Amino acid sequence: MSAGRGFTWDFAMALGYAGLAMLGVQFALTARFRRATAPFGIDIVYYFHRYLAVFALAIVCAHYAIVRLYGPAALGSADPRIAPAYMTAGRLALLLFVAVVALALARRALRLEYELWRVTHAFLATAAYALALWHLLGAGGYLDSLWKEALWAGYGAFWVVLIAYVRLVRPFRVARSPWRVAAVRPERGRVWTLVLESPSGARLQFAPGQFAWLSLGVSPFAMREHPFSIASSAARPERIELSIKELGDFTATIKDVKPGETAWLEGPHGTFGVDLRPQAPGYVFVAGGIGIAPIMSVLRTLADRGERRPLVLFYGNRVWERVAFREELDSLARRLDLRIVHALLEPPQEWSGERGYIGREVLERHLPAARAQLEYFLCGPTPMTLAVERALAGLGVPAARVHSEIFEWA
Amino acid sequence: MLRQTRAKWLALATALLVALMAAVFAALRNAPRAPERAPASAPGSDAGRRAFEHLGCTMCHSIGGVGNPASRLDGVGKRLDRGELRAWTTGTGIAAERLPAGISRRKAAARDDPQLEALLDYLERSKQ
Ligand SMILES: Cc1cc2nc3c(=O)[nH]c(=O)nc-3n(C[C@H](O)[C@H](O)[C@H](O)COP(=O)(O)OP(=O)(O)OC[C@H]3O[C@@H](n4cnc5c(N)ncnc54)[C@H](O)[C@@H]3O)c2cc1C
Ligand code: HEC
Repeated sequence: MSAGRGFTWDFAMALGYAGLAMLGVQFALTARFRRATAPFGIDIVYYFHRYLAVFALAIVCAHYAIVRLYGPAALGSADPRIAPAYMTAGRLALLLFVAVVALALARRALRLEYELWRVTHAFLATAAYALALWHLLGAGGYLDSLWKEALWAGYGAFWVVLIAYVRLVRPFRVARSPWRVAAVRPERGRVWTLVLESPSGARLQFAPGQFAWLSLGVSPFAMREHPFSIASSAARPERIELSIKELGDFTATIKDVKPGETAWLEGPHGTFGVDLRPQAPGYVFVAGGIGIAPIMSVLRTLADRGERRPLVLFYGNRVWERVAFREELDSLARRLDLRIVHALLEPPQEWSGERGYIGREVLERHLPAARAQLEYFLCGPTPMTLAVERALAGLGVPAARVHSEIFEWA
Repeated sequence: MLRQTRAKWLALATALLVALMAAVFAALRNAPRAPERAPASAPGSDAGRRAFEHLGCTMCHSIGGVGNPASRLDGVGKRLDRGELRAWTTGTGIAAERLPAGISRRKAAARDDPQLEALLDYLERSKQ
């Protein structure tokens, strides 16, 4: 007799193991190991986390569905009073996984508060995972004992390291270099710039366009940090500025922050910015609203570096009075070979600039003929980013030259 | 959104690769294809057969196509004598050594069942 139990059965079981292994990786993906994620950019890691969840769930569902169709007897009774506990655990795990994924995808539609969702997400996912492991231990008769022990030992070690890293090591490292709020500067358009300096003279070496996670008002161990682009010049790593738009609970508190308060930064992260594309003959930036923040960092840095290449900035806003940094942009335009194209949704009477959303016509009017050689950096509301990406593709700009920073990952 | 699209394809590719690996694993384990015997018809329908179902043996085993096809006990009466059958059914003796502890514990429920002897008769009669 061969070791097999029939292809269908073994396939279903292997899918169960594989699905669980994939879901285990999910926890590591959001641990923000900086060195491991830096080469890809952490945003792609988060997207991967989101899509992998859906596909891993499909695999786990396939595991269940195949058994259900091929050997329903193996499932036994679904009544938890009769069914063995590990089978009930498996059923519960499946339901919880579905709930975790559904909640994550429908969070916005359900208007679930972010912090609440984040805690629920972590809790449900961990509970589901623990139940699934229980199910596997009870139902899995596959591995012989030596392999099993090695596998569990390795797995246990993985979890201990991961939890220790996320809960202790990472917050500890962040907590070790506190920053002090030096000033809170109001900008146009309900934006406040948080100026941070390190009391110990520490520096945050970053590339312009990168971002950091900010803990303010709570310690890094509370794990209630928010991501913000660094808006200041990379030539001044000892003085970090974050420009924050009032959008929700946390961002509404920035205006009341007092100089002297302690803040913590975890970063830098991200691959947005010109430093990864140093060879381009010129750069084009497209910002919508607070999407200007990382682009301010790039422009300020380029000015500090004495950049001579031609630059174009398309900057979309609703009304002229709320265009953040417009005065400073004018002075940057004198230090750089920078052309600024403002587009307003609700322009004043005498407005001679662009109107409406930034689209194909606006881009075409202001881009140089050699537009396909330039590198493009987009940051703004997701609909703007999508529309501009489509327009640029239509204008013959290769997709590989278009880089988008999205503020709404989750 | 190029990066988002890339992440999506990467995740899909990962999932397909994993599913493929699962299929290869299953194919290898079942390699020299054991000829799929048509399940022998269940020998008689009696107390033993009912016990096979109500004691939950069907969650892991099948006889005559009834139960979990992953572990077929068709013909077990030819290979094992009554003592061995008793050991495997109740998770005692040699079976206790070879079975994972959790499964032995579950099988222990059959030890005091009034239908145990009928169940063993049934297994013993399964010769093909
Ligand atoms: C890479 C990146 C860079 C960013 N840079 C800037 C910037 O320079 N300036 C700026 O004003 N905003 C920036 N944001 C957006 C900023 O992080 C959110 O606006 C802020 O976290 C909202 O928090 P809230 O409690 O005020 O709003 P809420 O009303 O609680 O949340 C509004 C939305 O913001 C998102 N969000 C909330 N909390 C978090 C969190 N802890 N982590 C991730 N997302 C969250 C959620 O999608 C939520 O639905 C950036 C976001 C990302 C991902
Ligand atoms: C939780 C799963 C499970 C249940 C329930 C279960 N068994 Fe088993 N049984 C096993 C495993 C695992 C083996 C080891 C051999 C194998 O993997 O097929 C085994 C082996 C056997 C064998 C020996 C098979 C052989 O080919 O050598 C017999 C006979 C047997 N069981 C009878 C029963 C009977 C009768 C019941 C119902 C009282 C029962 N089992 C319930 C899991 C189970």
